[in-house]
Amino acid sequence: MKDLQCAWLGELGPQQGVVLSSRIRLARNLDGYPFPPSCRPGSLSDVLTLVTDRASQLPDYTVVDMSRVHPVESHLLVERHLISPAFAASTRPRSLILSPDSRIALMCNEEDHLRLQCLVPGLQFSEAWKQASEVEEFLGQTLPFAFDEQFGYLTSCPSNAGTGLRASAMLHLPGLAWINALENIFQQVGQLGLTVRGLYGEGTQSAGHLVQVSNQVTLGPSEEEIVTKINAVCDQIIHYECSARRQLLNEQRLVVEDRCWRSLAILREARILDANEAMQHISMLRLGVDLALIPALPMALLNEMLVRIRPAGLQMESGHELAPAERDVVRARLIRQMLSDNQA
Amino acid sequence: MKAKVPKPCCMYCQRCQMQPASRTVHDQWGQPHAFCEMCATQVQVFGTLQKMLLPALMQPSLPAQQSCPGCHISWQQLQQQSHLGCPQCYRHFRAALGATMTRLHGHTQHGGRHPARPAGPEKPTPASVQQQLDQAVAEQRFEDAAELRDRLRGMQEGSP
Repeated sequence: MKDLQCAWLGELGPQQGVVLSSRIRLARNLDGYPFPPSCRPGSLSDVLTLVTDRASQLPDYTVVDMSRVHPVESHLLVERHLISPAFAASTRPRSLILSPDSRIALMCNEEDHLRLQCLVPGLQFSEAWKQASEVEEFLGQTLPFAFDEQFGYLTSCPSNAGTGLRASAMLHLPGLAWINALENIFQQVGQLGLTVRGLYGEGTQSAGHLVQVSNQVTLGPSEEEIVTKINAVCDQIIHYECSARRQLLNEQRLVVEDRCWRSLAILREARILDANEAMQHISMLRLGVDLALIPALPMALLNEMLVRIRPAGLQMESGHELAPAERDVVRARLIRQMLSDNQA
Repeated sequence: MKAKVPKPCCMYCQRCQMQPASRTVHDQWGQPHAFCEMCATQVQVFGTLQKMLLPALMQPSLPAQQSCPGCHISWQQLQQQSHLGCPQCYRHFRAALGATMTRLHGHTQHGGRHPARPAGPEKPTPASVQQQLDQAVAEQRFEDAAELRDRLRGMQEGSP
């Protein structure tokens, strides 16, 4: 699990200075079975068998029985955005099905029988939608998805019914945060039927100026309309973020440079770093790299750092359970190590 | 019976992902969730883990005896748990859900894709009826052909 391949982390995509990743998620249920929250364990096991039998015909995919995964490992999957926190904590019969590069992840028996996601680096909604719909079509050839002419694909929560499609992008917006314009942007995004959330989805907080933008409406517009709309809104946010960064460079170059280099100095030398402080400095470092103020630091390294400094990543790193205070020490050491390895 | 609680030793709060998880809260299905102090308090105040305002969108009251024939969940229970029980709930509570969908999505009619393999019986299209009609004529089944011709005419008149 430690060596899990993650395309969205290891590769770079379009607009990588602002967009870490784009994700398409499709929710599906099997006709004839209650939705997972109301389903008896026996029926959930039947669903699991049906889904995994079909999904295991996908070439080189791995089926992971979540009941056999250690809590730290399942938390690592949350930190890599491959499963939801609720799926990690659940005690239902459930499995995760992963493509070799983890671009495609299928959660079986989360809130719906099937949650299929395609996660790609940078702003690539069309690519993510293409890949997700191909896998969905393959599964739908034998799995009887619950569908209604009026309400579309039927989901456990009516907020997902219709297309069952949730498109989201993970954006890094330090420029807009600096000029205090995030609130304004979020309000406007809300008026367009989109929503802004923290890094790990519903109910989670944003840290390091990282936010998730996603569609709220799933019933009515077609899949292509949803994807086109969120892509256009993200393009506009990227445009504003880049304008804010340019303006900061023009008006306060020395101050921006100073903050970025201070962050690098702290990350290179600190012996204790809590998650919030680390995220804040990595955010500044990302900004400095994108504006070419700090040379020779690959963006992919910083993206990887953002994930590896989370608690489960740190515990996998050290090989044993860590108390919160110990984590801060291991986190600081890991960051120093990653930065010095890059210098060598 | 409540499910076995996972040890939250290594976990951060499931909601904010920033503070260590120190409390376990069970949802209405007995599933455990690990939260920090602040999030656990908020979750208990709002009474639901997510989608806090969804019950407000599921307002119309239906008689208590109207339960879904598939999973026997009543509309009142659905309002409390904010989740439907099974695919049949959508068909059984169609009218009440229509109002919920308007409030949630601003739409009541799906405009996206259909399943590759329809879950229910396949709906006849004008092309498939024409094909059946041609075959009936070729096989000199004139009664069947007349019926198919009327059906096709009806479909064509009904289409915009």
